[in-house]
Amino acid sequence: MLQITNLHASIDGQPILRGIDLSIKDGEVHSLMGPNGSGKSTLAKVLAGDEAYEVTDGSIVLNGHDLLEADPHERAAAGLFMAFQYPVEIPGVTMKYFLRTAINSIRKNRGQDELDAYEFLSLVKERANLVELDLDLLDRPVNGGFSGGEKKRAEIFQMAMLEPTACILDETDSGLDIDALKIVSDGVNKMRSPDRSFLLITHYQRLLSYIIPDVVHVLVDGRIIRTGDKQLAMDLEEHGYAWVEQENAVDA
Amino acid sequence: MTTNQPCTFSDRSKAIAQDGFTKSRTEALARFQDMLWPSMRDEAWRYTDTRPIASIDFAAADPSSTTDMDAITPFMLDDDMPRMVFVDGVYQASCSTAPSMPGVQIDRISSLLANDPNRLIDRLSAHADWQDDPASALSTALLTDGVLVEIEDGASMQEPLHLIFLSKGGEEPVSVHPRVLIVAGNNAKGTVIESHVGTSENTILTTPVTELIAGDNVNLDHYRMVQEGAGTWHLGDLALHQGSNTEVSSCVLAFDGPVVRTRMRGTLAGEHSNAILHGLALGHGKRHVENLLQVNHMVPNCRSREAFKHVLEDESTAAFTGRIYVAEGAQKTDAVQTNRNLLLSPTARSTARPQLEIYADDVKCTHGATVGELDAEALFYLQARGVPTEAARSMLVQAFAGEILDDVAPPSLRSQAMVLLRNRLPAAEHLAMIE
Repeated sequence: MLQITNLHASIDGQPILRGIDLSIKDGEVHSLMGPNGSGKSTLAKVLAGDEAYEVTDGSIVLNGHDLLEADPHERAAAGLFMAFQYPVEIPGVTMKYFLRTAINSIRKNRGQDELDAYEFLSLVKERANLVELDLDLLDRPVNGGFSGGEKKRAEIFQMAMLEPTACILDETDSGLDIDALKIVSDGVNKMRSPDRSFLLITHYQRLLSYIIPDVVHVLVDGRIIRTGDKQLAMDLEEHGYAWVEQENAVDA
Repeated sequence: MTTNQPCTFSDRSKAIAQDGFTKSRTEALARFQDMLWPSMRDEAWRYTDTRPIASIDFAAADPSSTTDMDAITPFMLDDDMPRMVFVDGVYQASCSTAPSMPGVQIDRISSLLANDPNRLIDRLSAHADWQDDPASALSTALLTDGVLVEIEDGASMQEPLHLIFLSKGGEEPVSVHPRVLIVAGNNAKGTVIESHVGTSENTILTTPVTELIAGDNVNLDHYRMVQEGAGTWHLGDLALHQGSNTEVSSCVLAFDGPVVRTRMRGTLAGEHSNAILHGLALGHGKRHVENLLQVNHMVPNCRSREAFKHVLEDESTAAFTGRIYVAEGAQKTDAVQTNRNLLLSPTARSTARPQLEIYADDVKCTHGATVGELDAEALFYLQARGVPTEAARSMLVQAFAGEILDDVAPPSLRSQAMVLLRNRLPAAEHLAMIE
């Protein structure tokens, strides 16, 4: 279970997250929606441990691990995975080499045996299938010259390789055409399991027609102002974010 | 052994028997004695301080120097790659494979000097410009042995030739002067790899000089791996001379040795040719690396690509000078030069001096030098995927170096370089093995 309590974070002294409470039980899929600048991506980066952000209050606990006390790689070993909105290109190191280092670092940290070359390649073949990833991409530099769709597929492929228990997908749908969106969504759906939870960060309802969320949250100005079921996402699509803000003003 | 007087090498020169090369040796010695080791006020030597070697009385190496396979094996590439081994300049038949390839004549320079000097005339020392470099002049003055690789017209070397120069030295400081001459006829192809290596801490000066002379339609790749011992000064020289429609590459991998200075000169003398000069240097401790390049575009329609990268830790220093000369009339010249430095410690230093000298008006010449640290975004990406911080930093060093190593064509050399790099990086145990 991922438990976020009263989370406050700022960058360069500028507060972005102003008290987030969010609890995602094992097996659940939550969606976090919100207008540009509401703090969605900041939350993803703070969860993954980006040092550019300063956490000023609150806590993040994953399956009993206090993540705020952990370095990014320890969070990954604890079961957290964040799919980047903009995966970084790293020329000079192949995808395969990087991933083999990553998976064995995580396995070592979890007290598991390292995968040898054969086991690693078998797993690669199996998991690449999930998102119909071209295996040739693995001999290319990390994200090097990948198309937008290939980058997002490669992120989900890495997620499948590293077998996290909490998956944060930061605008994985952005820049995807409809075919790629279906493939990526299918991959995510195949990974859904009773001991794995998801937080889908998205701007649009579109992704949620393919990956049906259990809970939808609306983030505005660094706070979750509304929580509901998948119907909330559809209402938002119809009325826009201004509507929730007005509704909230009326409720208050 | 150390005096206040500069060492002139006169006695060394006198001890060399007379042969067809004596006149050149005498001229080169006189030139060396004119120059001696320049001070740092000399433009070409502004970044390499020669005072520590200037007054050392370097002796000739013991002509009976030997070694065994155990000392050579760590530096070998494929077991069955043809190789010639020299220890302190002395040929080691027992460690060499007496290479023979159809269409390729591989000879020792010592036997040509004695029996067939015509094959060296107008070739050996013809392109190395020893007149303006003391290390190159000294090499010519004391030249007695080395290797001539002559690829006949239309011939292709079926596999790379590996030349291993092991520096061993002794109680007294010695200097050795390895020589390589590669002559490629028209339509010839080949690859030559030099390894300049050593594990001893003895005081040694080595001045390897390699000349590559390419006819027309030639494809030639040359590599120089430098892993010298802790007491070895490596002052090297490389000269490339290209005819038309050629592609010649040379890559210097400066991995070890307290001072590794390499002068590279490429001359494009025939149209539609391409010169590719690459280098990767790894600095740690108080190491100093210098790459001094000049590419001469003498005719129109040629391309040159220079890419040099330095990874600097601790108090290591690196200097890069890259001169692009475009002669009058050498229109449509396309020259690109880059020097990128990765500083891993606040006390490491790098200097870059690009120099353009252009006498044609329709050319494209660009140069770029950067000094940087590891990219924070890339670092976070690796960490977020579970790679511990120190290993993630090391992986970004691998990535930085990888852009040069990816272009190293012989797989066994590429993986040797990648393994050496991996094993010396912090947290190497977290990094996947190189296959």
